[in-house]
Amino acid sequence: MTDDLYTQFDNIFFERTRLSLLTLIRANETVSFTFLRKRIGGSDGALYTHLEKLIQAGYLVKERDTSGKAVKTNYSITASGREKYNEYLLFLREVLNTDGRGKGEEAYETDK
Amino acid sequence: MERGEKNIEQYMEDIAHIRALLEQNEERPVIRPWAFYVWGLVVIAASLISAYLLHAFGLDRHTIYFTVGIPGLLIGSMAEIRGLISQMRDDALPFFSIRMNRYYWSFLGIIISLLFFIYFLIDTDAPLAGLLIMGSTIPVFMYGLMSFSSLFFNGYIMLTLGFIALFIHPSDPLYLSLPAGILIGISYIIAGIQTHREVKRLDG
Repeated sequence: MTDDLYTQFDNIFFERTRLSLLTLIRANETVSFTFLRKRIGGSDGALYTHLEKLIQAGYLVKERDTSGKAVKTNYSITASGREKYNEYLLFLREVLNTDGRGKGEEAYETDK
Repeated sequence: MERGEKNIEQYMEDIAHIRALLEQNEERPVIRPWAFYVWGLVVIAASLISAYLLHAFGLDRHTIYFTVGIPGLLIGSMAEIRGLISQMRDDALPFFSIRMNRYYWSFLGIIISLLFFIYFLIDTDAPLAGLLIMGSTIPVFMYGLMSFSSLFFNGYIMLTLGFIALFIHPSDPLYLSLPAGILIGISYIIAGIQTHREVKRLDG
């Protein structure tokens, strides 16, 4: 099963910042750019580039919120982004189980 | 994607990273720190007004409960809701996530139970001040659970002080009610300062 799964993932999930972004947005459903910057750190430009890649991949959507005093950009996970992320978690579990370490399930359960 | 591009150790690091992020994600403010300050000031003001009404006009406890306690609770709750909306908007977090629904139901349950608890307690000879101090820790523990665990320290200090107050018997129990109210108010202000410091730590 592992061999079938790993080929489904593109470079998105193999980059730590993008994995972090997806993890946080998936956990919170919708978040602002400011929230992500506080949690992940790094420069605005780098973070923006990573977010744009995720949008281009169809995993996220962004929305400009002009209701408050300042204009904010909010990010939400798409259905396909959520599905891919869940598949990636499953993949991690499979990889680790195949390796005989058996720690994948623990992380998967934590995130459910 | 070549399997060799990422070895098993890196996958394990990914899992550890995801877990750490999710744990950190739980540690964030639910309401603005100023909402704690408002609660603290409301409790102190309500305690002073209650003491004044009791001694100057000889009003009974139930009248004070309805004329000072309930309005104070409404003002505090409104400030808390305003602090919540402000915080959620700033982070663009959804108002009705699983996490927030837990918060709403626990907040509502705590307020209702405290309302009845206090209403029936003021009729008894129970050590009111100590019990009020102990009861005041419930929201602090709730916020410790929902946001920053450092608030538990505040909660346990107050719990200890409330426990000590149970064994203090002044000639008139009301002599202890005013200091108890002021103490509760100060503890909420301290909880706000703690939250403010934690937010600053998170923001780096």
